Amino acid sequence: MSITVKNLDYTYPSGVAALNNVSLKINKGEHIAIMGANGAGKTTLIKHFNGLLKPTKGHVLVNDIDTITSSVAEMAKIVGFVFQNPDHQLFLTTVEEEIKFGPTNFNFPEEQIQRDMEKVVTFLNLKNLLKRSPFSLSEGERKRVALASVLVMNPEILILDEPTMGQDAIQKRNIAKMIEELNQQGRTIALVTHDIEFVAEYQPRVVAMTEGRVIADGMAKDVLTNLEVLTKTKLRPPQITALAWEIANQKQSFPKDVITISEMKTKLLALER
Amino acid sequence: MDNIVQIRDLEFSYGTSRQPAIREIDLDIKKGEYIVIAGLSGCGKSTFCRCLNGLIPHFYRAGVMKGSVTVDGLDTREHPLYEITQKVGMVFQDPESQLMALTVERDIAFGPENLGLPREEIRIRVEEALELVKIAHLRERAPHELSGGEQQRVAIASVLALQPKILVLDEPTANLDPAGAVDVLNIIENLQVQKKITVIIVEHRLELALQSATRLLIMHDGTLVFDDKPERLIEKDITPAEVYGVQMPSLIQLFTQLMDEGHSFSQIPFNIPLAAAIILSELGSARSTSE
Amino acid sequence: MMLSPLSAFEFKRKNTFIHHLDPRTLLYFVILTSILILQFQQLIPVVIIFVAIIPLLFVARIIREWIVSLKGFIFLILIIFFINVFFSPANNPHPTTFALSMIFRLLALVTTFALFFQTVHPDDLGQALVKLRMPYEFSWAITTAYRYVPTLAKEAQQIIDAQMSRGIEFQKGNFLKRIRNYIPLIVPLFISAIKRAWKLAEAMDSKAWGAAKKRTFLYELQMSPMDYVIIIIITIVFISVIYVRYILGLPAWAEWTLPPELELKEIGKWILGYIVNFLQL
Repeated sequence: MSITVKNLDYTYPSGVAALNNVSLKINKGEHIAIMGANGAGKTTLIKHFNGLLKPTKGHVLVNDIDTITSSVAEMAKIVGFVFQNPDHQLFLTTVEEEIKFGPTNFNFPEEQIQRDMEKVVTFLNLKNLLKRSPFSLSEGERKRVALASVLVMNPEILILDEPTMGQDAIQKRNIAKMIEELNQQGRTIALVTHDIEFVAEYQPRVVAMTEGRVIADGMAKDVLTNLEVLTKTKLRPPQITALAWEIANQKQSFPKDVITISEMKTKLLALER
Repeated sequence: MDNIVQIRDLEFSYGTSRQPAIREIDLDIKKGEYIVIAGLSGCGKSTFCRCLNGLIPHFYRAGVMKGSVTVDGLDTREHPLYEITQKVGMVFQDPESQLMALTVERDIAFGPENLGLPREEIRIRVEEALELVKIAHLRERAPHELSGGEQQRVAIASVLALQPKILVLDEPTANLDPAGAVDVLNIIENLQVQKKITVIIVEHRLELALQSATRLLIMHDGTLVFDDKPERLIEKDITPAEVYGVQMPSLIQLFTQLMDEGHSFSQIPFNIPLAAAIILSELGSARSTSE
Repeated sequence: MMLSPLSAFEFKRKNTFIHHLDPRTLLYFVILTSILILQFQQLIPVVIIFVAIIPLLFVARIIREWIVSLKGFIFLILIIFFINVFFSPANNPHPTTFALSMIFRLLALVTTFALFFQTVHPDDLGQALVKLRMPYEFSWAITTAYRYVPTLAKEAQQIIDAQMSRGIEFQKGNFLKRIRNYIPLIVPLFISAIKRAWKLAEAMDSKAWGAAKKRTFLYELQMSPMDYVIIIIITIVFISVIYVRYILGLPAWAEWTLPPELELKEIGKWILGYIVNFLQL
């Protein structure tokens, strides 16, 4: 499953031009992070991946299906979209109903629904909560229920909007673990995030956006250490990178493209000798 | 005498649950401190904040509060909420739900208007607050026209208009992008340094917040499990912060790992320039002494 | 699916003569004009009132917003027209004329209210209501409701996006099914509104809500001499029109109706019958 964005323009009905000639290819099984300042067009871009928005100009192909020709509901079977706020999608009286809602709505066979539900429930550790009301759960648990209600439809592509926003360290680690596992199962993952330390740690491919355009696309190590890109996207470098720059200021030979702690350690120990 | 907050044996449980949300909290806070509170979500940080500005017990009347909280000489149980809020200003996580007027200026005026102050006095306070958080250019704007960072600065200004001595902020940057978070934290640091306001802030972004903190509190399961200078976080005799779900900034993780390998440093830096200086001057020499 | 806000009644900051009037003056204008509009069922007087209001839109420089927002009323206008033409009582000999005058009545009312809401800042409106002895809590509730319209609209859009991404199709099915379709929108919206109300109450109490018996205000409304002049003019116009309408009686030309051959009732019945057949209602 791949996503191909070809010369995409999008202008909102209010007249705001949000995307300007964006081209991008996300291959099957890739893990990519889309980064940029608020208003750069990140959310507008990912809303094209499941057809919530249709291009003003250009095309978005999801596995050769042009999103213009397809409804969001049809796309939902291929592309799972998890939004930032779980409260925006939970509305049923038990966690179980909530998880089964999507596939039941699509008239999937009962045995399949049961099987898929058990799988995601085990994966996301929700077994004890099935009979509870989603509204009685903690924020972190609700986030997992919302994710389960999307994963249960077995989407091959998963889109996540700001998955780590407002999460504590343990929740973040769990989210990262989940994303990694889903990616290893062969799912394509695209996420929008501001969390540069998170990206530095897990190192997906990074797409940087400013004012509706893609200004950089490559390995985390290259994009996150590019001062020009960081300035334009109003991102601060990862702490480790900032430290490397500060050291390089005084010791010209020191490499500037360091983003992980272990790499930094190696470079520092080399410095001593 | 110069303790501006005194907390004695504080415990609180919401009406809905018998399990206390916070318990066994004893704490003194000095005037002018910058205190960062960290901990897992659900550990009682928000409840603790609400005890400081009197929302507990006055707003959450169904709950049970034990022990005492004294802010600037006022016992929070014995004084009405509006008196306490003039000592302790509270900024919440969600900016949209704390801005209630249709322009920035009127939002800032809301508090002083409630106090029934004369119009000239309201005007002075509004101008002062606008200046303090550097948003005078936004005065005519409606809240929904602002970015998250700007909204949160308005929320701070509207609390400052009540001229509190203590500012409590409950995850003020949780909904913001990094640029907005830096803006807001800079404003808060300024208030502490220049206006000598005591700051108590719940914050997940320790890599930003710890740069200005004079003291770090870690909460776990409703109790205080760490209360000290941030530097002491990585000393060997202390339970590692990770156990309590506190994410150490990667800078600190780096230093911890270097120390694990036998290096030692004169101090633990929370900002980049200092870290670079320490590494350049001490890394080589530390190794040579240890060898 | 996009939700578009109702822009006809949205305040826009502008620097015109009308924007500077006291909200109470404009409120007086709205009330008296509405009363006048409701005094007439004849086409000509209603059109005259409607046409007389239009220049004010130019003065307030909101003519473009007004035209855009009128598009939103086309559907309603068509419904009024059809109902009045085809379902008017049998003893009404001029259903089309009557339908037209009802439409102009609606347009005149909409325009009057649009003029008010586009030129009076909602905070000033709240302030005016306090001045008119309404308890502050009520006027506060009105301005707060107004304040949260854009926030709720944004939230509703986010919920729609989230639910559509789960495969919910809001526009699918017959009428009853469609109403059921909206449950996944309404439940989260409702719950989030309750949560927000709680947070708002906390924030208000944290800003000394209810501290003083007599609340003061940063801005105090002040009637200018111009306001009094306008109020006098409005009063004179109002009394004159009422005098003509009820004491002098309307002149014959004001009772003008469409010639019978232009009455649409017969043709319309045929069209309507055709549509009903087509839809197999």
